[in-house]
This record gives sequence, C-alpha cells and structure tokens, in this order.
Amino acid sequence: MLAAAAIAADRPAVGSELERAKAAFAAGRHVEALDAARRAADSAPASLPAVLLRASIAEFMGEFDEAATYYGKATTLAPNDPDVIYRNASFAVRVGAYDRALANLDRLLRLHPWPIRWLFAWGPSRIQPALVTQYPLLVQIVQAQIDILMEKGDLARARTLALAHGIVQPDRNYCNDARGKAGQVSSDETFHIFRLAALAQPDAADCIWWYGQWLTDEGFVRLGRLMVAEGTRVTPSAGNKASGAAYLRVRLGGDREVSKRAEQLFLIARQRYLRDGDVEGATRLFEEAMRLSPRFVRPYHYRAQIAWDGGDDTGAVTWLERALQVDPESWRTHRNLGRLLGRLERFPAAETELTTAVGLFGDDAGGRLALARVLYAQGKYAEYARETSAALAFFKRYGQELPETRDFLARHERWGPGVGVPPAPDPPVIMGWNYD
Amino acid sequence: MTEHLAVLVVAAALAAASPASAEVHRWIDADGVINYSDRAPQPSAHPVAPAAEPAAEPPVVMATVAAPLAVPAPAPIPMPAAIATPAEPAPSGPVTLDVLFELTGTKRQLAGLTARLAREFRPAKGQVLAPAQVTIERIVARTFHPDTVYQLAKEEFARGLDRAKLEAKLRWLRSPLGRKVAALEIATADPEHDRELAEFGATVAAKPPSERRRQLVERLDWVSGASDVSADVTAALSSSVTRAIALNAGGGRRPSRRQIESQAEEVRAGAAVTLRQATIVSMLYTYRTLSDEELERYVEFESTEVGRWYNALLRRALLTTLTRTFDETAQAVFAAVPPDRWARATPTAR
Repeated sequence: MLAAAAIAADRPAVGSELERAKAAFAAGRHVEALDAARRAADSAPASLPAVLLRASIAEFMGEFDEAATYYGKATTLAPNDPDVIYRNASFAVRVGAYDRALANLDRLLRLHPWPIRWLFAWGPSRIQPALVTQYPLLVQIVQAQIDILMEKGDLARARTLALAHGIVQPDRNYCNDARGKAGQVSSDETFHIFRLAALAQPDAADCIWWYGQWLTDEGFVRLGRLMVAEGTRVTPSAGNKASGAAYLRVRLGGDREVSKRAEQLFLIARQRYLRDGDVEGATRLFEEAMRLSPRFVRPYHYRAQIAWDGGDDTGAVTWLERALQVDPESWRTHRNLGRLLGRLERFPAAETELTTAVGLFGDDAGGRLALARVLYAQGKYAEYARETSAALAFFKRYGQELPETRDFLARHERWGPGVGVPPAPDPPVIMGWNYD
Repeated sequence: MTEHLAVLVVAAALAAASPASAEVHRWIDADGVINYSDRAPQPSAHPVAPAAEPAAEPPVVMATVAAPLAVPAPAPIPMPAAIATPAEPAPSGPVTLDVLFELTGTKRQLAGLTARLAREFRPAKGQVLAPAQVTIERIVARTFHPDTVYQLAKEEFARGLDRAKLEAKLRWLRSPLGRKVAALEIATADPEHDRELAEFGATVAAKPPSERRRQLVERLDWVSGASDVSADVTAALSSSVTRAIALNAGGGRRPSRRQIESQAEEVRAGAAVTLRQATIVSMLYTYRTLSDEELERYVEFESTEVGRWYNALLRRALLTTLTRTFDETAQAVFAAVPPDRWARATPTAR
C-alpha cells in the first residue's frame, strides 16, 4: 500500500523528467536529455517508457554499456513487446552482436501468426509486397536481416533475401538511378539508392565501388571496405583492380581490424564533438574506440583535432604521429599532419608529409595545393608552379576554376616571387576521399 | 613593403570610402562568431540577452563597420614637396633598427596605423555606458600605445635580421630616389591625406592611369605584399575579436578554433579583392609625382632579393605584432565589458 502510494506520488515527477528528456533531445541538447532520462529511469525503474527512453538515448550517445543494461531491463519488464524486441535487435546490430540480433528478429517474427510466418519465409516474391504492407514489422525484419548479411560479407545471401522479399526488382537498373541522383539528394537517400544498386546488380562494379566510397566518407568503414573489395573483385579492368586495392590500403587501413563497436563509437564521438561540442564525452568515446581497435586511425585524427582546437599544437602533432605508427600508409593521416605542420610553419616536415600524401593518392589536388604552398614558403618556386599547375588542371576537369589560386600563380609567373604565400583551397571533388 | 605601411592604411580607408566597394556588414551571431557579409544580418542573428546593468539601449553586441578599417576624418593635405625627407643616419658605425625605421618612416607610419586600428575597438557612441567607455579607452590606450607596438614590431623584425641585406637596403634608402619614395609614403600615412585620397580614388575611373603605370603599380603591390598584408590584418582582427567574445560571452556553445580560423579565412577572402583594388588606387595616389621611370626603378629594387627579404620580414613582424596586440586588446576589452553589455547597433553600410 505504501509502495503503491510512493509510485503514485512519483508519477508526475517521472512524467515531467520523461517529457524534459524528450524535449531536450528534440532540441538537440543531448547530454541534458540523457541526464533527464537517467533521472526518469532511476526514479521509476518499473516504468517501461522511462527505461526504454534511457536505453535509446544512451545508445544514441554511444554509452553502449548503459544502453545494454537498460535494454535488458526493458526486456525483463516487457519480454514480448515488439518495440522492445526490435530495439534490442537494432542495438545488437549496432554493436556487431549479429547472432543476438538474429535471435531477436526471430522472436519478432514469431509474434506473427504462423501462416504469415510461413508465407514470409517461403511464399513467392510476388506476394511479398502485399504481405509487408499488411504487416509492416516484416519489412523492418527483412531489412535488418539484409544489413546483417551485408555486414558479415555475405552479399550473395543478402541479394537473395532482397529479391525474395521484393526489396529490389530483378529487372530494374538501380545503378542508373544512383548515377543520376548521387550528389543531388540527401545523404540518407544517397545511402538508400546505392544500397539498392549494390543489392540488385551484382555485376555493377562501379556502383558497388561508389557505394563503398560513399560509406567511407560517411565513416562506415567496415561496410565501405567490404563494398570496395567487392567492386574491385567484380571489375574486369586491371587498372580499376589496382585502384581498388590501393584505396583499401591507403584510405581504409588495409587489413587492419576495426570492430563494429569501435566504428560506431567513432561515428557517435564525431557527432558529439562536431555537432554537440561535447569535448569530454567525445574524447572518452574516441579513446574507447582506440582501445578496442588500436590500429583504426580515424579516432586519432579527431584526438588531434580536439588538441588543436584547444590550442595544444604539440598534442595535435603527437596524435597524428601516433596514427602513423599504427598505419604508416594512411593517406589522410599524412595529409592532415602535413597541413598541420604547414600551419605551424614547419615547412620541411610539412613538405615530407604532403609529398607522401600525394604519392599515396595522385589525384589529391587539394593536397597538391597544400604542398605547393609549403614549397613556396621555402622558396622552391619551380616545384610550386609544377604542383599548382597540376592541381589546377585537375580541378578544371571537374569544373572548378579556383580563381585566387590561378591568379596567384599567374602573378608569380609574370613578376617573380611575391611576399605572401599562395592560397591552398581544398574543395571536395572525388567521392570517398573527402571526409573522415 | 618597406614603406607600404602607409599604403596599407590608406588602402583600407579607401576601401571603405570607395564607391566601388560593396556594402559590408559586420555582426555577431548567437555563437559569438563575427560575421561579415554584403547583406544585413537576419533578425535571428542577434541574440538578445538580459542586460547586466541598467541600460537605455537594448542589450547586444558590437558596432558594424563598412570595411576592415574606419574612414578617418577628412583634413587639408600638405603637398608632398612640403614634407620633410626622412632623417639621414650617421654615415658610419652600426646601424640600429631605430635608425632604419626612422629612415624608412616605418615608425611614424606604424603609429598612424595603430591609431586607426585602435578605433576598431572603441565602441560607437551609445553602445556602452559611460564607465565602460572609459574602461575601454584606458585598455586601448595602453595596448595600442605607439611605443609598445613599435617596440614589439622591432623585436620581431630583429629575429630575421641579415646585416648584408640590411646594408643593401640602407644604400637604397640613402639614394635620392629612395629618399623621395620614403617621403611620399610618409606623407600619405598622414590621416590628413585621406580626403584627397578619396577624391583621387573617385576620379580614377574617369581618368584611368596609363597601362604602363597601372602595370607598375600592380607589380609593386605584388612584390611588396601590401594588399596581402591588409587582408591578413583584417582576418587577424576578426579572429581576435571572435575569440575574445567567445571566451567572455556567458552560456551557449563557443566556436572552436577551427571555426574561428575558417571564418577568418572567409573574411580574408571576402576582403581581398576590394583591398587589392583600393591598394592600387592608393599607390597611384602615393606615387603620383614619380615619373614612370622612377617608379619602375623603385619596383625593380623591391623585386630584388634585398627588397623581397625586407618586405617579407616587415610583413611577418607586422602581422605577429598586430595579432598579439589585437588578442591582448580584445581579451581585455571583453573581459572588462562582456559582450552582453554592448548595445546592438543597426547594421549600416558606408
């Protein structure tokens, strides 16, 4: 009786904390949202909405141990709730616990009547669209299964599943759609169309490759690596095979292991730093990612960025040097270090790093301009002019004129060296080489 | 750029006054980031915070300016011929930097430059309460004291000193043409020339210089780095103020170093073209009494290794000194009078 009274008395407080958490989350105040969700779940441990909200926000914030605990509590509170089961499955996919994810998806499927399960598993593909329209949860199940198969590298089974359930149509050219839309639609839509192309057209080497490069820029390095490897395998061109192999080596760390959890921690940490300005939280997650996958260089790049943003130039250099120790062929690391050393006016060292960067990736026109700048600063004018001309010609092929850079070179060639240093813009040009 | 401090100053003034220059608005957004744009800020760009002390004006931020540097008050202009030539150093004995900077007029020009830059930190009338105004005046008077700035610049310059090149530079400065050029540049540094310069600028479009003259002046700008330094100074000012506001603004997310530098690069790029045009006009004005042959000889000297060495060294010393002065001033000003105690001024274009 007393307990019931206490719970009743707690309800308004829980409700207000829940609302506060939701409002803060919706407003982008994620740290505050997690704090409110914690208070709500602590004050009402038997409240499914409170427990589930805490689990969800903790997952979103990369607090995976906390998320696992509270998804577990939610399962205890409502073992047959489809939402709870699906969220458990989704979280398991995020941290790479694929068997657990599949078990949860199976449980979700078993919540449906057996004829529906039978039709879903064995029915002809022509009835699948109607089936999933009537039972929308089935779409989520099959999409999650496809994701798992793709992430495990079993592209053949993923394609079979996608065809069987009408996710892709056998006679449609998704690759053409992707070619037409890439760069003109949102990031989510780009992901969607490339994914369908990769699923529908096993021979479309270019599209599979682009999908991999898009994933690489977005930070999904594991699936990106699998897709680039697949595109490289499928392409009949020896030159493309060599390019694909080089991309895997200098852009994706070669065979250096990156766990799913480390990749996801990195992605979330990057968001916490860049989007939320949460230095402490981001730093902790980056370091956890480094601990889980010590040869994964991207977290090192962001630790360097955080150090530099905080005015610690030496720390920034040290983090990038540490990254090169774990992956000496990382094009991005050489490039970042070269640009940083250039800013610090350590020109000979900057030249070495940037020369390595453009050696690893010959079409790195932005890196070439950064190199040209440090060459100019050292009075190496002939090399400056050569690198700048090469970069300008490259950018021009992609419709970018860079008038300031061109003008500086023209004045230099006409009147000899000036007092300033040339501009070194770095516009993105080739998908897959732009972001970390 | 030996003597181009003058050009730097007047070019910026001209950029502000030139009818060719677009409207530039400066404002500070909710993140404390300084923005420069050819369009007025949207209303949402102005955070309205509670006033820290009773104020007649709505609480807000900083003045808007039309260009990197303010336009000075017009005044009558003495003709170059009436201006004394720089002092001649002693013919023998070690040459000190004081002598060098006296000879080139750098010391006087630097004083004029710092006086103009100091105005950027002074609030417009009514922007802050009287006690805050006094506080800011004291800070600016201290940090922008001509002797302090000069001393800093001299120390920075001394770091890259090369005696042989310095001697060569002095030989040029002692030549009749060298002295004539220095005198012209010192004269232009005087704010009293600003009105005549503005009038001159207005006539350039109608009475353009000969192609040869224009080419010489464009080359002089290139080898001296005059407009380039102006753009760098503008960017440095933007960075310092943004950083100080971020450090002293209450609440909200602070812009990162990366954001501040990226913004400064944008400011620099945005100002560069206007500043270059203004520098060309300013140089046409400054050297208007030189013949083409004299100007060409001057440009040739500036293009030599000695000329480039001196200009590069002075550029570096100037930028380092001014950046340090901007940082110190901005930090002290916004620590003493936080951003939310500055009244918002309606963006105006000049």
